[in-house]
Amino acid sequence: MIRLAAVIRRLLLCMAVCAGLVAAPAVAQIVPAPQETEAPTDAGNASPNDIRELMRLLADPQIQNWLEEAAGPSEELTANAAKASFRQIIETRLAAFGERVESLGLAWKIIPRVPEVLGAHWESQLSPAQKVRSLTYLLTFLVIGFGLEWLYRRYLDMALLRIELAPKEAPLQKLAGAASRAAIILGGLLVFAIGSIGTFEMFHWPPLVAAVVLDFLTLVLVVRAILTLSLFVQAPFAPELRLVPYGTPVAKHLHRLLCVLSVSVGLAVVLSFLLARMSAFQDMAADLQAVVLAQSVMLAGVILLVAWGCIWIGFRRVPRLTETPCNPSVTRFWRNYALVSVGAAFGFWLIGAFAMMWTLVIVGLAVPGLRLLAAWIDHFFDQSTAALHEQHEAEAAAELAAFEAAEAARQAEVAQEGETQDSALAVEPPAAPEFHDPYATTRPIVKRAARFVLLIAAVLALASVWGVNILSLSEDRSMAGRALEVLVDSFVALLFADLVWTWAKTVIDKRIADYEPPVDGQAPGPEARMITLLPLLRTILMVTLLTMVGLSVLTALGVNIAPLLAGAGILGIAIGFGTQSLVRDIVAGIFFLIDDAFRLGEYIEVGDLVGTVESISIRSMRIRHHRGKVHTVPYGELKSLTNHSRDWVIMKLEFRVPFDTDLMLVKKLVKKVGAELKANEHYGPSILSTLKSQGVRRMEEFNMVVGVKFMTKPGEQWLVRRDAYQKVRDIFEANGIRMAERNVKVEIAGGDQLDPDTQKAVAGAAQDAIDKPAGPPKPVPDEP
Amino acid sequence: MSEAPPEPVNLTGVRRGLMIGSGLVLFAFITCHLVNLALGLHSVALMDQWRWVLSGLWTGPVMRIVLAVALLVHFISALVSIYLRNTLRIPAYDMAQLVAGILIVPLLAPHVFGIMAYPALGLVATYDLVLRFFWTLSPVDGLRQVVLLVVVWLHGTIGVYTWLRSRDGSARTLRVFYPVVVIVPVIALLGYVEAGRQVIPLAEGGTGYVMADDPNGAGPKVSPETARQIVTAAKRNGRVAGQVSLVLVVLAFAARAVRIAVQDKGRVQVNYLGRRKAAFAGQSGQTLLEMARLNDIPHANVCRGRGRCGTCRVRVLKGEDHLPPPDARERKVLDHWNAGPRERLACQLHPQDGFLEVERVVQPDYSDLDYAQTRARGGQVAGETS
Repeated sequence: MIRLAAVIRRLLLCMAVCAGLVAAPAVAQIVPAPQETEAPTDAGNASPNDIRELMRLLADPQIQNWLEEAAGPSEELTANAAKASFRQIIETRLAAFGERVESLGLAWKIIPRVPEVLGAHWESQLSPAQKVRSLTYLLTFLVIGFGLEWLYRRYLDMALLRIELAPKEAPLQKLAGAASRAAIILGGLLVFAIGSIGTFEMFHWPPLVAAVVLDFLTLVLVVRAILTLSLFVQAPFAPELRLVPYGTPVAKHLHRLLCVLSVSVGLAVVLSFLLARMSAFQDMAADLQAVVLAQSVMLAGVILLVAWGCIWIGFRRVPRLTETPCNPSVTRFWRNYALVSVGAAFGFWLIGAFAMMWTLVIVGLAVPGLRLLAAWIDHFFDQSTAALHEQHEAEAAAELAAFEAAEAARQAEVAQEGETQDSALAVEPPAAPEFHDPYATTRPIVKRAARFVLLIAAVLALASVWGVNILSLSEDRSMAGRALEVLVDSFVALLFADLVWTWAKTVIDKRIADYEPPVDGQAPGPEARMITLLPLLRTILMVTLLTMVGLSVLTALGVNIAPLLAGAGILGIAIGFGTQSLVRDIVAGIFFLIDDAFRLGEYIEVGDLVGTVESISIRSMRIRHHRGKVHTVPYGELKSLTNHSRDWVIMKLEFRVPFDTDLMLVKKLVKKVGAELKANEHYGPSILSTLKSQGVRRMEEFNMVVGVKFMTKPGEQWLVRRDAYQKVRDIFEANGIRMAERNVKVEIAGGDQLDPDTQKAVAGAAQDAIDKPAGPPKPVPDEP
Repeated sequence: MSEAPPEPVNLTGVRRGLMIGSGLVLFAFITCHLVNLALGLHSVALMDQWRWVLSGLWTGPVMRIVLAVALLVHFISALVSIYLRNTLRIPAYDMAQLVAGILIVPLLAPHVFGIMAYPALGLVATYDLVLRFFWTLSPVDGLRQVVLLVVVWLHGTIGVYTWLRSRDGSARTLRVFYPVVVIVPVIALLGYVEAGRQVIPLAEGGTGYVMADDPNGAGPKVSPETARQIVTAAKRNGRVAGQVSLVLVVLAFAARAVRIAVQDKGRVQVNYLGRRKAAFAGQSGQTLLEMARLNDIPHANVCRGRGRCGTCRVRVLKGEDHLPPPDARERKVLDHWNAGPRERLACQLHPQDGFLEVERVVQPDYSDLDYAQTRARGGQVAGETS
């Protein structure tokens, strides 16, 4: 079990080390080696038995815990050291640098002797029999691992083949396929690991042999894991599952390069581990340290050459293999960039500036990584949209085809019946619906989120390189620690705010862009309310985010923001009291909008003001009367509000007809007019319930009042009313129904004998008599 | 075998039959040998106890001849099949089998000649003795043995696996075959390692396994001078045998290169219709399956182009006139599948110059391959005819 823990630890270390391996600046891999190789120098003249005992103790978890606890104070010591004066720091650094240069010089001198010294140590460590046995064991465990994996694959090969060959249209399908394939392959890898390392664990080995065999098994595992990642992304042998936008030749080429790179780097790392282990089991000879360094330098040099070679070949071959032309200057730039950063990383490693080297590696990876990530996400979404577009077009084409077939059938029918060609042509083909990209809002968010994750990962990696624990930064009081903390905190806050802002802005902008203002005369839809609220929300969000980021940056800087907050609070109260009505207006406005009491373009009535809502601001709204007057009403003033533009409107009309009118005829005629109105091509569709007679509503002195009513969508009633009046009047007249008129019948006994002048005078007197009680004329009803 | 076959195509069939037969004999021997090794997991004594059954029977006077003939036949037919290879861009299994096959003789020869030297020295090749030799006296040879074991097993397994898989109703056999194929070398290797751990401490001055009544207790029965000569001769023979085999393989490759260089190179334009449409150009002389493979066109092939499984069948839609008629073996496989008149095996079809339009009968993901249905169909047809 102890050894299993050691295996896992080593695996994790190797994975962490090799994580940076996918791209060019892989020289860094060698770093852990010298650090480990330097450790045993303290062993002094201890006997092999002592060392073995020490190793056993070190492997004990309890001892490890104790060591970790004991290491606590030493960390404090280093923290104290960090507080030492700047000059001291510089001096220490320079001294370390000088020492490094010195040892490098020694290593350089010793290089010709390296094979000889190594050979001697190797011989003294392991007898030939032991060496061969190590290899035998290694081979055995590899066979067991591969055998079990093969067995596992037997049962999943068909599924894998199906996944690889099934045609995939949308990138999401591809992603799912690639992920399931990677899961199957990784499952195989797991079986391999369990089979090889598991059986290895079942035996007891001499410690050095165990370490060596385990190192190589881990190497195989890590290299295979990296290649699996490459298979997942590039899928060089399954074009259907490829997630990257290039062809099979490029994918195969890159896969091969990656294979060479990871194997050589992994081998170099394992070899330096091997040397470190060997010296750990050895009475340290004086020159061994120099030899170790020399060997590390040589291995690092080999890695440098391999990395340079891979970069050079890759940048040379890939443009030739791609179908799309590459800009040669861009290619040259990135090639030189990769070559220079690899070289610089090697240089930093050589002079012992490991933190600088790692920084260079991380930054050097992050810069092209960000661009590649963005390009890849773009490609992914482009593909998705293209797939959807294709599907959409196919559907539209199918619909059109179906329509054409139906049309042809109809035409044939019409031709058989011998009707005119005009009616056959009357039907228009269905308009293809417009294509909307459903990923328009998702794309920027995903891009930002991916960038966010990458940057955070880079920051974490950088922090761990510089030995800074981000979570316990606040305990570090040194200048550099403070500065770093401020930087990290501000950066993270900014990234978060940026992520939230991008998301909100995209969603809001998309909604605003999608809004179609109502056509003149039509009632606006419910979306109009959101159009009012969204810009407001956006502004509020921006202000909030800016405030929060500002405050967190201030906190990070060490400014105590509590007084600031308190001051802001007091100021807020003061301003609040001062601008009570303003606040009331704003809050009331928000609630009116949430209540959906009115929308842009609606005809409303507020108190004695009527008009169309023309604009809605944060504090007030503007109503335009239909005669052009503009009223500005603060929301706080609104007590109740009448909306004339909601859902439906009923309009009742009255006609006065003489008592002798045939009511059945009236009913029939009104019904006919109703049908005519409904058939009107302009406002017909807006009529919800057409004109119908309600019979006699009441009897008056000289006539009956016939009521009619109709229901329309809001805003349409005026037009319908106008036509209804006109048509009813016309049809009544055509059918001999008179509208009742106010007439006075003056009966005078023996009036027949009166001469015309007298008759006129009498009529005039009677007219005056009935006009008087009529009173003043009523106001003309409003109509927009 | 004695009289020349009437058609050269039948020669291929005979060669394949010989290859499979001799291969199976060798595979049976290897399996027994490995099982014997696996007994080392228990003890070296047990290995020696079962030696006469698991290894002794094979090295008897008759079986020794059989094994030698099988090895020779297998090697020669392998050389012929190297010569006949149209392309070296072959599937991973075939490549592994090829490389392993080439390595076998150089790795095996020292072991064979070494074991054969034991009787001459008047020694019995007990596991006790041989393991001591491999683990302590000459660890490099021990390592070579391990490599040999892996290589031989890989080669043999791929061969048997391919042979089994292309047979109808092999699913049940394979269900047993898969675990056995993994377990046998694993326990053999573990047995070898464990036996080594039993014999090593003695050589290093500790206490370890000592054989109860060792037939070799008295040491070699010949004079040291003769013994040295015998050992040297065995080593030399092993080396020479390995070198000769490598030279033969190189010659086979050279002959193949010459054959390909001299054959006329025509271009064939091939169109795949149906699902997964594809169009590509190939070189005449290659089979249709090889052309598809070279162009990364997915194509079903269970037996990887050996003309046995019938899953690479294609329906020829255009360009049938240029095609040579199916030979007897292809005819047999096609009949077995009740193939239609225009159906051919892609792995046996050598399109000449011109244009070919085909359609896959079995999809490359085998989604429409159904052995049970095929048999039912065959039974039905048989019922109708009888």
